[in-house]
Amino acid sequence: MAESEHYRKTASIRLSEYYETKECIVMRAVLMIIMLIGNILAIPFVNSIHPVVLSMPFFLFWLLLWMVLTPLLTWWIYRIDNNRKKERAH
Amino acid sequence: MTALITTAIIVLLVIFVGFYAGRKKESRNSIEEWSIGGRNFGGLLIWFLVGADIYTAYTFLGLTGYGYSLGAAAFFAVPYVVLAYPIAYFILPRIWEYAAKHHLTTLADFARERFQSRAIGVLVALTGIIFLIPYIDLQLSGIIGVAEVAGKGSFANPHAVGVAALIISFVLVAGYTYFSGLRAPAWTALIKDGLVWIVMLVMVISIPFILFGSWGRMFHTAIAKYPQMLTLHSGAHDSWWFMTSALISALALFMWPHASTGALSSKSADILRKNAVFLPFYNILLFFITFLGIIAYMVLPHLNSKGYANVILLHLIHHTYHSGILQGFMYTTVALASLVPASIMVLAASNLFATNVLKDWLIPSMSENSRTLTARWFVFVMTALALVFGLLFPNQLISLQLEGTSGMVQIIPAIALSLFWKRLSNSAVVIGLLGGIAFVFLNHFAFHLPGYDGFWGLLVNLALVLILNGMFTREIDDNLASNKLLNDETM
Repeated sequence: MAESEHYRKTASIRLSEYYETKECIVMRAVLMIIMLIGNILAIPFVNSIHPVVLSMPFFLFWLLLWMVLTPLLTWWIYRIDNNRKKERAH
Repeated sequence: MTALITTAIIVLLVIFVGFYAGRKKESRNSIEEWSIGGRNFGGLLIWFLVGADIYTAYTFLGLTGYGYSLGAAAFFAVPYVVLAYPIAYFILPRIWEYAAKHHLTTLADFARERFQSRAIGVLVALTGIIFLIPYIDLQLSGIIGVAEVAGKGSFANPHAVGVAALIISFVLVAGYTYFSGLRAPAWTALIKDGLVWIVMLVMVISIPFILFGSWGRMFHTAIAKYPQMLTLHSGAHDSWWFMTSALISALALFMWPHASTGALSSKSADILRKNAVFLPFYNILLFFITFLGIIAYMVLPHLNSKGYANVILLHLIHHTYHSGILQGFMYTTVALASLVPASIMVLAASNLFATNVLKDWLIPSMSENSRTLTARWFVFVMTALALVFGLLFPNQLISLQLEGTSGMVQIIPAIALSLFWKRLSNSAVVIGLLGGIAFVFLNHFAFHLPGYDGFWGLLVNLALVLILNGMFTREIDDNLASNKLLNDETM
């Protein structure tokens, strides 16, 4: 039993190491939630032809917009992780 | 006829490149070399390879077909592929690190090591194989479609010509996969994707100009005359369906054996992270390709003949362009978009079978060499299976095809949740996986809850995992105590 307790402890320590600072977790989660809202949850509310933007129906314009925004947000997460890696290397 | 000859010549040239890619003997002397290119592919090759996995003939023909028959609902593919990459960003690089360190070549390998259970490896492998065969068949139908439309008017029986073209091209593709391994589809993917980009850009830019005068005028006509095609409506494909199918497909994308094969062939985990950022720009084409389906609805006659919607893109090409050589290049692109991914799919399924079904389960005494050889020979078996199924039982395949994504996504707890939750137990995941897949089919045939079947399946799956996990603390402790993967200090 003592042994299992030991592994329970070490496992949780390693998990927190992976996630690193609280700030990183929050930032990543927030960015991911924004992507989910834009790409999925917003769908019923943008399901309309008007207003026409760039001569496109609004629904299609919205999808195209998030097609551009999502990789940019992913890139942001990549930047956060990369900076953290550099900090750790120091 | 010019179109058909152009197509045949280019396809044969590309197949030759596939054989040439494996001219060195190392390409096939171990399972790691053969199935994932020795884990040595750089960023650009991964970009093209994963691109080749995802932008298949089914993408081009299937999405324009959906656009033609469903209108705006077809655009579920846009948030689907867009969202798949941030999800992959969190999962793939971590799996890659484990895989590189412990010489794993499939996701089933990873599940086996993570849970120290051969049963879950076999289960993940079988899930992959069962849902992949109908997916390979979708690629096959792309080839038949090309030969039929390209050969229209030149042959008495274009369908027979299509079947002949299908068999010849798939035997050749199986041959190059057997010979060169992943290097064949990787290098031919460069040509295929080059053609895809050029041809799709040409089509996307020129079709509205040729048929309507400009993109703006085309949209204007669409809004004025066919507004019903541009928004979602209540019914089978309402916004709930749109949301659930996009989300589930995004989660499932990198669970597909062929997509993970591409990812594991990467040289480093960072290449995967970078690709998760840059690959989505590939998707911009996808948006416009889907719209071509709506254009097809606007300009082509609405026929009810079977399979017409599935090749609507080819009819649109035939309707818009009149030069045989230009048509030939476009048909070639679609043909290659079915052959190159089919090669990766067959390879992935063969490796799953040889490694996770045969070696892990049925013949544990198998040597490394015979495992490599079995995987390579199994390429022909998988190809033959797909051909026989596709040609003899096209109707029975439909349910499997429809439920493919819903089925594949059920391995998410085994592959992704297990990365972040160390106290996740094998038994709970196995029960969840089986329960999830069972519910997908129950919902498809009996319950008919609204939305995507995979969504309800995954809900059942996760509920089972969460409820049952607490019952297996003993098993979890045993696993944590002896697991090399989980107790790796350097990770």
